[in-house]
Amino acid sequence: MTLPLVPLICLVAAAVLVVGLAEPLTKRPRTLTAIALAGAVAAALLATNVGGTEALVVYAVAAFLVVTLLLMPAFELQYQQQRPEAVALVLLAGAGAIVLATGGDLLQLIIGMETLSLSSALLVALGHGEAAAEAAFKYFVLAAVSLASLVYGLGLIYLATVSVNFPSAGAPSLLLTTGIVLMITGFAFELALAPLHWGALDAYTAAAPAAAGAVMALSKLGAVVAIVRLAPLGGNSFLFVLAMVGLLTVVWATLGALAQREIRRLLAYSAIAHAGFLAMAAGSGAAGRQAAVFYVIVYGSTAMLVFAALAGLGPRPIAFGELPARLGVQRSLALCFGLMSLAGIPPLPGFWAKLALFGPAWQSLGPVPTMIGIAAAVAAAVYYLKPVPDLWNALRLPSLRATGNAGVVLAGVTVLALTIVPGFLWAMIRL
Amino acid sequence: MTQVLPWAFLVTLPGLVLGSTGVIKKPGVASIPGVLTLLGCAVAWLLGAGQPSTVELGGWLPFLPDGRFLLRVDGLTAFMLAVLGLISACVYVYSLGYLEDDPGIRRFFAFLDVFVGAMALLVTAGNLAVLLIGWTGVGMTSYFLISFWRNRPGTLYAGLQAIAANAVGDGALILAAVVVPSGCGDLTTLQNPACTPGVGGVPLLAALIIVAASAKSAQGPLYFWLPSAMAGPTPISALIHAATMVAAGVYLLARTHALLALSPAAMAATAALGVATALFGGLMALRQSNLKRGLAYSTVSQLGYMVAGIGFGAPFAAILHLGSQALFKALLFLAAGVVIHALAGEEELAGMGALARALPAAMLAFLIGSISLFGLPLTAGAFSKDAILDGGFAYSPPLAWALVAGVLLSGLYMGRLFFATFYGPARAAGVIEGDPIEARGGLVGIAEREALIGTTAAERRHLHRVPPTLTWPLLPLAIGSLVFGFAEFPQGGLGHVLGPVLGPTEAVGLASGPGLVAAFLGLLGFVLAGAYQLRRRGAIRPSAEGYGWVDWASNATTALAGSFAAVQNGRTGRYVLATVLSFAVILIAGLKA
Repeated sequence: MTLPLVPLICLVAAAVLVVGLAEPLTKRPRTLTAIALAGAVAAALLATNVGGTEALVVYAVAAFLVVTLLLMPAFELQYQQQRPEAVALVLLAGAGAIVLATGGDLLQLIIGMETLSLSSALLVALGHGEAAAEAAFKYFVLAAVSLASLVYGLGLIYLATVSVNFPSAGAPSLLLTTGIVLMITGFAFELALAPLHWGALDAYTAAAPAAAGAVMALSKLGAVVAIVRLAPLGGNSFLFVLAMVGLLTVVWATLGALAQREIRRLLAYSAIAHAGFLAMAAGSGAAGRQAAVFYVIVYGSTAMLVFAALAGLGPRPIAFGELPARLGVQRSLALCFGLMSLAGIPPLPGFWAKLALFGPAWQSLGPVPTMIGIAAAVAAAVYYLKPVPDLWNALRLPSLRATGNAGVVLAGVTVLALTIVPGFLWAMIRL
Repeated sequence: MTQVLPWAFLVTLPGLVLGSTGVIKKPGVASIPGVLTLLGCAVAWLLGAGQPSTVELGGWLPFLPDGRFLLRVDGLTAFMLAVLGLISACVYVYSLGYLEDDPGIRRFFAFLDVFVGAMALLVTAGNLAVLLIGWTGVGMTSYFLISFWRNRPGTLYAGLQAIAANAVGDGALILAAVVVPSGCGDLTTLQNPACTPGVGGVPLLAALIIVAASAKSAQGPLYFWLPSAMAGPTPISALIHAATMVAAGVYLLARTHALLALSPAAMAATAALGVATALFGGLMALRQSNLKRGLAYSTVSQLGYMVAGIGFGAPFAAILHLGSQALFKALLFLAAGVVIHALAGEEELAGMGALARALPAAMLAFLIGSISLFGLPLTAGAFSKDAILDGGFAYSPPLAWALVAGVLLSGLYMGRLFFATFYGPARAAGVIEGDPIEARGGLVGIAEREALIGTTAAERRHLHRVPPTLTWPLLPLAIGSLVFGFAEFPQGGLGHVLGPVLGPTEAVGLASGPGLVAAFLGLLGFVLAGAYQLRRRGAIRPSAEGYGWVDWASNATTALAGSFAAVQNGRTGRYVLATVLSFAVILIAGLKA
């Protein structure tokens, strides 16, 4: 793969422009959003020349960015004048995710991951309240630990091959394998696999909903594509270990989520559980890798829908019963369908993604891990669906005028398209 | 007309759109033409106008072994659609009256529309992928409707029980959909040798289907959710939790009976599961103090008869019983709903009694449903139960005798429910004018009754008016419960339509020897229970409900979940330590492996 340079330049240029004009743009939120949207849309349009999985990554990132940017007016900031910074950070996180996914050599991957995780931590920190700052700090510290692992792994790979390029497959030495495992573990942090999920879980909980969706979707997209590219070089037995870590994550997060009574904490645990499914897929052979990329784009779209529905709810914890009155009709419905898709209820795309994953898992991981995975997947319905009867009650409420409804609509349309023609996305993934 | 039958799942879509957007002011009315069309088309198909047909869109889900969007209509599907059309038409009309004052009526009918669509998709599904959509869809709407009265205590928990049990079955079906070899997944060709999964083979596939069916049809240890599901509105109990959705498991077993027949162990397990559940459900039904829960356990028991019929290698008999059970059980629930409506929501037997004079239509309907259920000769239940017993005596006489004994239980519990509701002392305050203390019944004091019902004494003094929309739907169901058996008499009516799908059909006779014994036992039980109820002056003890292994599992999971969540304690130092240690462990594991 090669970096899709032109789309990247669009995103970074838009970010630089926004930061450069921060002072006047603070008072013109519409212009601010327009510049950023122009950058994201231009990136997607110019990616058509790139083709291949690179283009798919850019499309997905651009879609996540557009939804997030449409939600920016609802972003609960600690200081209102920091809106241009928030917009720039969203764009930079998108650029980082693209680099992490499509980098031509290992060093580019590390740079992409650092851009992504730094922007994410700062986005979390911009949110309202001390909890946001504290969670962002933890996320930052743990990201530094994982950076150490990445750079150390890169050093070992360089020792073995005298190059920072992707090592060629076949006859790996101990040095090389150690390097690859260390690097993938670093990416696994970005993916938020248990037991490396501590910072991510708190950060996802504390982040403002308008930004949390972008942080989850972008980091998972970048990390999964990077892992999918690198993991086969570590050998088949390592793939199995990766899948088992994924399975552990799934069980851990499902149990943790069962105990939750607050919607954002629940969704944070859900993000961890989905990371586990992604790792299971990534460790399940070539078909599994295709399923992993499919899964991550579906997950990202659904997460965008859920958080678009929740955007603007403020920093206070929200119990399930309060949701309908605070969300109004449209957002309650959007949250309903988003939760049902995350739970894997057919025919929503979250279900297609899980179906795509379990076949390869059965083939390459064997019956027991697959059955545990399926059990966790269906048990998850119990916690995802707990708020849903309350949300249906919202049908009687008046509709609320909320900012960012365009984001809800766009995310909803994406999820609907993935519901009806999942094969279209599947065919676009060629690894 | 019959060519459109594969698209039956769209039949309530106009009603859903018009009703939920408020174009039609009275929700529910817009869907009735749809379900009547469904009924008409399906019956026309059965009467000989239809040919088997399929609808196929290839390459829909490219990641599955069989990812086609495949719909199929054959005799079995048309029969199931006819049952769905008839019962749902009755329930739509009935619900118009039952929920007329409910503020959530629009939401109710939206869910009902989705349910009918999902159920139609379930029975028209040609392969596992499409089946999964209908299968999970009916489970989902069932959950939403159980939790419909969200502000009443316990409804959410009851709904989550249904979700938990359904999850087991959904998981089994998901696994079945992914383990079959590439190109397989068509429900009618699963028995082909080319479709045997590499790992596990036929027994695995058969076991997955049996697990899925027993979750949906409340068999064996997965029975627990069905009695709890009675927290939903009574029309829903009739349609979803008695007549259609819970029978989906039996439908799936009948649909894949050729696969099950390849594995004798699977057949034996199915037969044993069905017989055990039939007896267990009957015993539990005897202990219930709540009218709807009593009927729910009776459904568990009758579904056991059907599952046993599949295990005996008599799928035709099982489907026949599915049809008659749908009729008489829907009738019983709707009649019970009339009583509950008249008593302002009272569901406990302790608050009923002596209602025969006040509610004659409900009494008559309940009586017809009861005699059909325990199988008085010439009623629908008699023919179909007889056919299952015939299959049983051909397969394993001891199991068949157990089922015959089960009919005695059927008679006992139906007699108990019937006489406790309609005869005996008047325990319902509404029936007796005068001092409400006079009206206290059994062991239940008036103060407890107040809490139980949640209405004032003045409200209960008079029975609620029963609108005609509540009584008219009883009529077609009552007629069906009496005469449905003649659909296969003389030989070859239904058998002619279902035979090509279900294989050679059993002869359905007027009465066989064991059938007569069973009918006698049923009648004996009914009369004995009646005499007992009347003599004991109808003391009904409130039954405490525990679920044994389910409560235990639920508590254990909650405790485990709590401890997993407690690890996330927010301390940065611990997080860093755990992260570094995890890096080391993953590195070692990655290099060792």
